[in-house]
Amino acid sequence: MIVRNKVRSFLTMLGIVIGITAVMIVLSVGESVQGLILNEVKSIGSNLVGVLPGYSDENSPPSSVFGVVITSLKYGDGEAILKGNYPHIESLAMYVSGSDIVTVEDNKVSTTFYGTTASYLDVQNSSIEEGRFFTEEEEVANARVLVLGNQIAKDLFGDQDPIGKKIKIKKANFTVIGILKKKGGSLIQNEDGNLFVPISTAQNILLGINHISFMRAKIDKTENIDGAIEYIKDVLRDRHNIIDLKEDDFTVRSTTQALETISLITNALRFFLVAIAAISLIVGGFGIMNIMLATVQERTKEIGLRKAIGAKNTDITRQFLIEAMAITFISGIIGIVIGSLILILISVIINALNYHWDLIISPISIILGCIVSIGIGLIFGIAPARKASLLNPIEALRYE
Amino acid sequence: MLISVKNLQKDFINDDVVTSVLKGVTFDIEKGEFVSIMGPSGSGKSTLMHILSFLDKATGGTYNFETRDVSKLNDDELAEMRSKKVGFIFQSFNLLNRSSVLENVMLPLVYTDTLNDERVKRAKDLLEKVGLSHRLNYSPNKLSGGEKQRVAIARALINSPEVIFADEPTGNLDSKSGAQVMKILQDLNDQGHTIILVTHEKATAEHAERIIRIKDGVILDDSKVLQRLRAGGEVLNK
Repeated sequence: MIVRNKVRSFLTMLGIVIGITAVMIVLSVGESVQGLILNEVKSIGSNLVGVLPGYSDENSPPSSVFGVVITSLKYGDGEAILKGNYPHIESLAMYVSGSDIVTVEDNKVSTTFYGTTASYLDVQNSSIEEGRFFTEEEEVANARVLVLGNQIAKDLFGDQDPIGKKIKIKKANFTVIGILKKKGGSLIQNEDGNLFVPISTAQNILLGINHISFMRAKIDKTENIDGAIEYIKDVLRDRHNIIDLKEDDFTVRSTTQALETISLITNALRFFLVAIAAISLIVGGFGIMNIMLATVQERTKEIGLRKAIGAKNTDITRQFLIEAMAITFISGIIGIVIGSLILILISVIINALNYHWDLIISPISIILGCIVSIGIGLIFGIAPARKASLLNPIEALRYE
Repeated sequence: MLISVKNLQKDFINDDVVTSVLKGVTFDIEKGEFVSIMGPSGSGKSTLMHILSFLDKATGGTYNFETRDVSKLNDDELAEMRSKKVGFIFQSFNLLNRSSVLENVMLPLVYTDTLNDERVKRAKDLLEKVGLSHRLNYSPNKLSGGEKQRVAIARALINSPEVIFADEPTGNLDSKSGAQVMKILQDLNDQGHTIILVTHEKATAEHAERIIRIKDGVILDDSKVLQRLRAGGEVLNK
């Protein structure tokens, strides 16, 4: 039957193939994302505390993460936190960002520029490859100096030495003073592709704003993070005159917490996608049921013959159940193969984009794919198989 | 006694309308007999054959096969009787076109616990007997009608049945192939096989030793064939 009606069988199998492919991808990508998050924690360090504008509850990110502009955080807030001389805060960096297309001779790159503080290198665990980072004096003096990420330096200048060269951002001239070391991609920030200028320059010359986007504080030890978070909250509440805690206009969170939030979101997404895959599998199951009913109809005479020569009802049931399960199992295998190919493709693309991505083809998803596909054949094959087994052999033999 | 039926009845009930197809049929068949059941269409001969071959159940009377009371058998036991005790030859051959000739012949053994090597050996032997050993891997739809029916005969013999039921075996064949098939049946009978032939044609029926004539669900006549036809046209006096 499978061989005889190739097109029909293929179309019937499609639902299962798509479903299994989806399950495969969702489960495996899920595992890769977990790996990505762990890698993230490692690369930026687990002892960072982020301060974002806008209130949020425990488990969700503040709306500023989604692009809503909230202006409640100011440069002075960061200064105040540092001035308190809280013993466990080693350093603190502030950030604003914008984007522009930067051109050097023939090279045109669309990029994100960050206005940040001189403490950036320390907080981010970054280091300079060539030249220098800007100083605290430059940070507040609207200095038109610029540090290049490792990749963008190559993209813009090729083999030339960029130090001392001029770059225009938003029609303002900047002098390149340094290049950062290559760091590799990350979820939060792709440092290698970014430009860095003093925060005052970015606020006043490039963006025309007086708030900041976020800050990050580096804490000396992991066990002091909670204390530091409370300290920062106290300072900000004091400065912003907040009495009721629910009126907080900022969110303070450790990177670990932030990444946990990301995991939570990806898990919810995974669950949602698996649910969609399940729907595809159920639809596919009905397709199998449909084709098996058609097959039983077409092969009525054969069923009659088989019964005449001694097949019991259970023999007929078994035959059609095995056939249904064979179809769904083959579909499952095809789905697993296609899913694996897509996963390999995803990994190649993401790695080409300079992000860290482990190619994980989750063994659980393969086992699950096999079991689920056979299970669907069993569940949706029962009704047609029973119908076949209950045919009256005399009438079946006469069927034309 | 191989087959013994007494006052066998069969009623079909359709929308509260009861149709009596068999109205009390009584006869015995000995092992090794070649019996024709003959009658016009609607006479009840097919229904009788279905009951005798365990495909259907009587609604009255008794049917004993060997020593067993067939009316007391359940569906699985009937299937087992079909598997072990009877072989079928149909008018329309009923071969599976997507299986090879060899596989078709082996098919009844799928429902027994015969080992595969044994299945192949027996099927090859039988196909040789019916003169088709050169067609083992053909699809049945590549064969002529006569060849198809010979495949079906081989299939009917594979489980060494007690009785072979032949339902209008020459109905779809030209006279030459038909004669060939009847000759094989007579040879099988000569070798000791019990054969029950169902037909509406007198000429076909007369290849048997005994004809049970049936009409409107009752037996008109049950007698030995005096002028028995020998396949190939010659007439033999038995």
